[in-house]
Amino acid sequence: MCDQTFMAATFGPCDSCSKPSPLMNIYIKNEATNYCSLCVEMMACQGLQKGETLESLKRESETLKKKLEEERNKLNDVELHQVAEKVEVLSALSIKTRRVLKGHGNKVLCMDWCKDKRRMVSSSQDGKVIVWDAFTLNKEHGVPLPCTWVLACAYAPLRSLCLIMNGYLGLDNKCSVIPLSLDKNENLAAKKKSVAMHTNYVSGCSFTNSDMQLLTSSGDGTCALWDVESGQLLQSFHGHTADVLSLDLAPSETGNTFVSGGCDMKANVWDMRSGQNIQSFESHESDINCVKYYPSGDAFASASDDATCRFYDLRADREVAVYQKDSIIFGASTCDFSLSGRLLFAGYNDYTINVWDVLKGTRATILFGHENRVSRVRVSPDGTALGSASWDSTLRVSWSFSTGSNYIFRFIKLLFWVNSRLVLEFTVAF
Amino acid sequence: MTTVFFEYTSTFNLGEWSLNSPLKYSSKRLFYEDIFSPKTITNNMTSNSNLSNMRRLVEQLKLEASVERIKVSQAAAELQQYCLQNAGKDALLVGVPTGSNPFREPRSCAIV
Repeated sequence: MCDQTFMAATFGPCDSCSKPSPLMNIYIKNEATNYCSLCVEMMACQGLQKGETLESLKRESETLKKKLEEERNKLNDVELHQVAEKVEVLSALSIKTRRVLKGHGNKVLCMDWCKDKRRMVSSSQDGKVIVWDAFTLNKEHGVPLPCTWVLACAYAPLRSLCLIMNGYLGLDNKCSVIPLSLDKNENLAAKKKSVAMHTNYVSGCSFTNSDMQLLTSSGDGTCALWDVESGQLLQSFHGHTADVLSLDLAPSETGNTFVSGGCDMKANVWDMRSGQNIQSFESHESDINCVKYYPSGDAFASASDDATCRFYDLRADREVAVYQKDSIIFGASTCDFSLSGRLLFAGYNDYTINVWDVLKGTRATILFGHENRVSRVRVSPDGTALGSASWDSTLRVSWSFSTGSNYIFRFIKLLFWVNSRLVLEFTVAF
Repeated sequence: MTTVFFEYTSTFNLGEWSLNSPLKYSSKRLFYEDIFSPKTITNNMTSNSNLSNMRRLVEQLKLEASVERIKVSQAAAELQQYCLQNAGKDALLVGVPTGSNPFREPRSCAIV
């Protein structure tokens, strides 16, 4: 459990800005008032330095921005692909679609893998959430939901809790949690529990390391941390100036940070305990659709509508690689790393998945097959397979066969054949 | 409830109001409430809150400027090392045995 800065017990209009949002009960001059978390932060900044004007602050912010750029550029002594020149070029990848999962009636908007490495959950515009078994291709559960814009779904790490996000439809800006069970006859939709509530659509969600907390990102420009059991707001993160479209948690067990990307073209790294924005990266030229941490946790990649994917290093505090090609003009909507971090899978709106060599900055291969936009790509937790969801209402699972064992396989088959032929010859002779 | 049909490809402003629907995902049919609803982020603010906003921004920039950084060459070398160390375990790089299903439970053979 992180340190809780406050627990919000009420949701309603804030006393100072009149916007409906989760409220903090605070005391100002011994009077109990209800402020939203943004107003509390603003209040904390007030009266810091007297005698400042808007112009002087603007000038100060400009000089600080320039100073930040200079500091970052000082340490930019070499490019990532130059360092990686000595690394062996990747051999031809044999990743192909091996399974196609059909069953949704409309665009599949989101998918995720379960930690048991076999099950997948996917949500679609037809209002259904389906849990698949990737080995048998069976559908294990199907949950119909009242809202058609289920924008995201995720599996809880420990128990088999499935998280469903209800996207934008009037006032349904909520995030719900559904406990899964093996009993197929149970009405799962009835056990739905609302956990998070935002003032605009919820775009992304993730369980934290424990099953107890939930991190959500929303179109209202904030991210929020919720307690699953009580549904209370634990921490909120302000800093984006437009819709936040995606978030990702740092992979380490003790990690307390997460990265979020939004329509303001910025990717921000946050500290979950303090709610502080630690680092900010602004080099994309359009909305950032997806952010994903590198497996070691020291870097992250982002996929954007400007048809590029960019790679940022957290310790060097700058962008270290751009993955783009003149022939790619459609925006990238999703990205994910392979287990070792050598490959970056990015799904684009031109129906393809480009596989980039992260170190060298070149494209390793393209995966074709989807007949509409790729909405989500996810590598399975043990790194064996790639799942991709698309607006063509199918999911595809791809993996690669090793070419080395291919030859051994064929050789053994040949031996058996030779053996059987020899046996035949000898029996005929005698 | 009136319904409005029109084509659009990106966000646009109607003066101080803007669409707050997820344009990336929505269909072309919108309802009246969808078009005429207030922006949640950049409201018409008083000059006082503009000042507070700027102060927040300045504080934030100061915080970001004070972050400890390392050289790109060192960071890149460590990323590369992580990649190469784990490349053997990466089934999407190396591949699974031909013809097998990676989702089958691994059966272990015991040597008796």
